[in-house]
Amino acid sequence: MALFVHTFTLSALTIGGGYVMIPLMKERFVDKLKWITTNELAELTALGQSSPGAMVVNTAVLMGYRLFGFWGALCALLGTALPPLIILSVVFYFYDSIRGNRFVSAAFRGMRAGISAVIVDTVVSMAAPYLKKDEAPFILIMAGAFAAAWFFDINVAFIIIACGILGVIIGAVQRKRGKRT
Amino acid sequence: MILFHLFVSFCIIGALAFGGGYAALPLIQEQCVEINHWLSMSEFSDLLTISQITPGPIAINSATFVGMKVAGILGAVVASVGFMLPPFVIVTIIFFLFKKYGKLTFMQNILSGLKPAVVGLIAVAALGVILEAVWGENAISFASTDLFSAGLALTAFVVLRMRKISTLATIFICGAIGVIWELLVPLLA
Repeated sequence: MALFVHTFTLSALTIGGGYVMIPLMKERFVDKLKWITTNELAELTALGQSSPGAMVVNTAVLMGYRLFGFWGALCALLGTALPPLIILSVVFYFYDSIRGNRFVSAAFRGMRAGISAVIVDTVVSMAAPYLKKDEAPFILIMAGAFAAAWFFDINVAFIIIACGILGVIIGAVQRKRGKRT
Repeated sequence: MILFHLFVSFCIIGALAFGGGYAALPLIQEQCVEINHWLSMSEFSDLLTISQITPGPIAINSATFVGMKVAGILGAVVASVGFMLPPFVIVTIIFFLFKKYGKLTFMQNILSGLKPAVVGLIAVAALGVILEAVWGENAISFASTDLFSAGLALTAFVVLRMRKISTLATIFICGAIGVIWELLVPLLA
């Protein structure tokens, strides 16, 4: 199927994760193929983000459903997931056999420093909007989740479920307050 | 048995990885490093590095890498399928609910609570990666501090915050500096 080929090539060529791929999807499916509109893609991306799992895979699957139903979704899933699966399998073989090499391990030592900077940078960027807007309940959740995992070693899965429930409660409380005022 | 174990672990990761990008990170660390010991912390750091410089979502990259390590190609496929199954089911449900109702306030509320939590959890994973990069297996003290790694990480962070170069370039440059340093140290000593 054409959809499989398109998602496969896009997925194979985009380094840098989800937010790099969305503009490329727009270019391919909206501008070039005219299969969906910009608005539809934005809507699908938003839905893809609200589901668990990889956002790009979700968005591609949703687009598959929209265009060709279940089989379209399956094609999009395979098209998006196969390239990283194949590439990482190959990389793993190399990693395993050259890891002991002095220069490879020196390069990884440097890159480990690099990746810690990248992750801290991401955390700072993600936390900034909450700290700026001064949304107390959400800042508390952020700090609480951190403390629960770092100091008390509580299971991450449990923290996520608990915070999802908290989100629903906060939503309900805010709606009630909204009605009163 | 190990295949079933891989499948279940990655199903858990897939079902709970809300929030995109790095959201799966703390879950992968918990399942693969802490609970099942499929990866050491330094392998986990390397895996993140490899994920950043190859195409594809971190979670699928991790599923493949861990699966390969634990049970070969079959393991890679089983772990990846495990990771993708719960989201695929949930996305299917969401697609049809959205088609019927046009909006999903309930889902939005869950997310509003999850997103800040995920930031806190990624911060925990970030701390783990920093400790690994700067202190490795050693106990944390000034004497055991890897000053080269600490300096490099700090510099990379400053450069990244100034938005002068891309993430990808930062990682490659850090790798190159690591190799140059390895060559220079014997010359200096």
